[in-house]
Parts: sequence; structure tokens; C-alpha cells
Amino acid sequence: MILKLHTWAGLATFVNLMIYGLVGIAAAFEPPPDAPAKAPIVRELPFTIAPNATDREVAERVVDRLGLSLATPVQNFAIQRDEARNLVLDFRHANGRHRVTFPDASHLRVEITRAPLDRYLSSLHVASAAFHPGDWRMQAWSWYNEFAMWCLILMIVSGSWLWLSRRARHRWALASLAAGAGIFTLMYWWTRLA
Amino acid sequence: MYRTLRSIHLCAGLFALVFLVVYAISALQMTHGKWVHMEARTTERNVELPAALAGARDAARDLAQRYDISGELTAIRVTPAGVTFRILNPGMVWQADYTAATGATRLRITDTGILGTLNRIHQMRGVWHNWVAYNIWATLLALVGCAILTLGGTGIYLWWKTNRDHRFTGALFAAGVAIAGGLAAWMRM
Repeated sequence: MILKLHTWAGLATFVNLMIYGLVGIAAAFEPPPDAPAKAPIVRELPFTIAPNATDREVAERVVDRLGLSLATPVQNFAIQRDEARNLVLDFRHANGRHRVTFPDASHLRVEITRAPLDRYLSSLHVASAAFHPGDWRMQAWSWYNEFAMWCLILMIVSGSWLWLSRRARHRWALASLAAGAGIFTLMYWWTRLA
Repeated sequence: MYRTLRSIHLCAGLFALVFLVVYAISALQMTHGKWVHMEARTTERNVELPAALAGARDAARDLAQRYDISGELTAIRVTPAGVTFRILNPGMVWQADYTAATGATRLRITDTGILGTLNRIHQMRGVWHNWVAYNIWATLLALVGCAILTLGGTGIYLWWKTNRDHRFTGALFAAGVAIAGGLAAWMRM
């Protein structure tokens, strides 16, 4: 039964687990914070700000107009004012960033920076049921990813049990455990305790 | 082939075991902070460094030599009186305020304990840090990523070889790929 649970958990959440692995590898190759940013794609679209509309109402209309459901619900930090007190909307979401300004009364200007695939997967891997995104697909993903996290914990426990009950004396397995645990302990001691 | 891949599956899992436990605990802390609660403890300390040091790098080097405070040097800011900077290591932040005229340095130390340490280890990224330990942690994270991919690949093979009836498990696998893969691809479009 333990083996079945171990297998089922892995099969049901295979995609999530592969994303965890890819994100871990990609993280090592992440560029430094001061690396030159990718140039955004700039577009201008017709858009009229309704009289008496609050900044939030404008932001929500812009989200509708641009189809940015992944940026919902609109967060307070996305609604900003620049030094000249002009409205600036800075939507950050799993697929990147949409920065919106209003050059005149009848247009909006949007700078689109698309996140590379590894950043997108990184955003997916952190989503959990604790978050409440406005997009139903992201909400569904968040629930599934939460399920995958618990499945991973189940696989850690069941995998350890399977090893101890079936192949506890496997030499290479013992050496692998010693290597992993030893490296972790050494690094923890060096960076935290030494 | 089967025996070899079964051994590789076992070895990859056991090599990554401690890291996966750490990631599981820190993932729980990040997503369910009410259950696994991280607390920060802040203290202050005054230390003496030589006066008129050239900048944050020299001050940080002196802190390491005299007081065993070492880590990633960041957030350097020149002030009228001297320089402020931060030294980070997993779970700890030393915010230093160095006065060039006297060498007096005030340290504000924030310690988030074991959970904070595990949290930072989980989020290590990039091999461009000025502190080599951070680069090693990020490399280890990539190695664990490789181990997870190995576990996935060998796991699929072992499942296919050991199960005679693939109907239920095949449906489970297909449903998982369809739901998770479908959502991930759809949202990216």
C-alpha cells in the first residue's frame, strides 16, 4: 500500500515536480539584479478615463481592456503616481509586467515585458492555496500546486519508509544519503554556525 | 536496466532527502505561516572599527576579521557620516552604520532562527554573489533540481515496468498532466 501511495502521488503531480526541478536548476543561472533588463514592447491604445473615476476604477478598467486577468485582484502597490502626480499602473504577474501610463486624455501607453519561461515557472511553483488570485485558472493551479506540495511530503515519508523496509543496506544508497546530508550539514555549519 | 534505474531512483532520492525535507518545511512556512510561524529577533550592538576606512568593503572585511561577522555584502549607501551596509547570511542580517570619523559602528542584528535560515536556503539563486557560500548554496539547489528530474524520469520508468495494469495509474498520470500541464500552458499563452 505504501508503494502504491508513493507511486500515485508521483504520477498525479508529475508536472509540478518537474517544474520544481527545472526551477531549482534555472535559479542557479539567474542573472544578477544589476544585469541589463530586456527592452519592453511599447503599444498605445485608445482609452478614455471616465470623469470622477478613482485610480482603482481606472486600474480595473485597464486590466479588463488589456485582458490582464493574471494581474487580478489589482493590488494597491500596482496603483502609483509619478513625480508629476500622473497616474502610473504597474501590473506584475506570472507572465511578466505591464506598465501603463496615460500620455493624453484618449490613449494609454503600455510597456510590456514578458517574463522568460524560467521566471514564469518560478512564479507557478510558489503558488499555493494560501493565495487568492482573481484568475480562475491561477486559482485552480494554486490548489493543484498545494496538493503537489503535500504529495511531495507524502513521497518523502513513504520513500524513506520504502528504503528502510526494503533496501536499508544498499551501499550506494547509504553513500548517497551520507553525501547529501554531509554536504548540507557542512554548509549549514559554515554559513550559520561557524 | 530495471535494477540500475531502481538504484539510481533510490540514490537520487536519498542524496536529495535532507534538502527536500528542508524545502518542504520552508514551503510550509511560506505558504502556511500560521501553522509554521517564523519569528524575527532584533538586537543591537556597538563595535569599534578603525577610523577613516575607505568604504563598506573595508569595513566589512574588518568586521569579519575582528568579530567573525561574514556574509554577503549588500545595500551599500554612503552617508554624510560614513557608510551604511548590510551583511547577510541565511537567516541573519547585520545592518551596519559605520562612522568614518571615529570608527564607531552600530550593528542592528535581525535573527530569524532556524526557520528563517531554511527559508533563505530555499530561495538561494544565482552564482554572482560576492560571498562564495551563497554561490555554493545556489549550485546545490541546482543539483537537487537535477535529482528531482532524475526521480521523475526514473519513477515513470519504474511505474511502467512494475505495474501490470496501467488503467487506473495511467488515468491518474494523464489527468495530472492534463490538469497541471494544461493550466500552465494556457496561462502562458
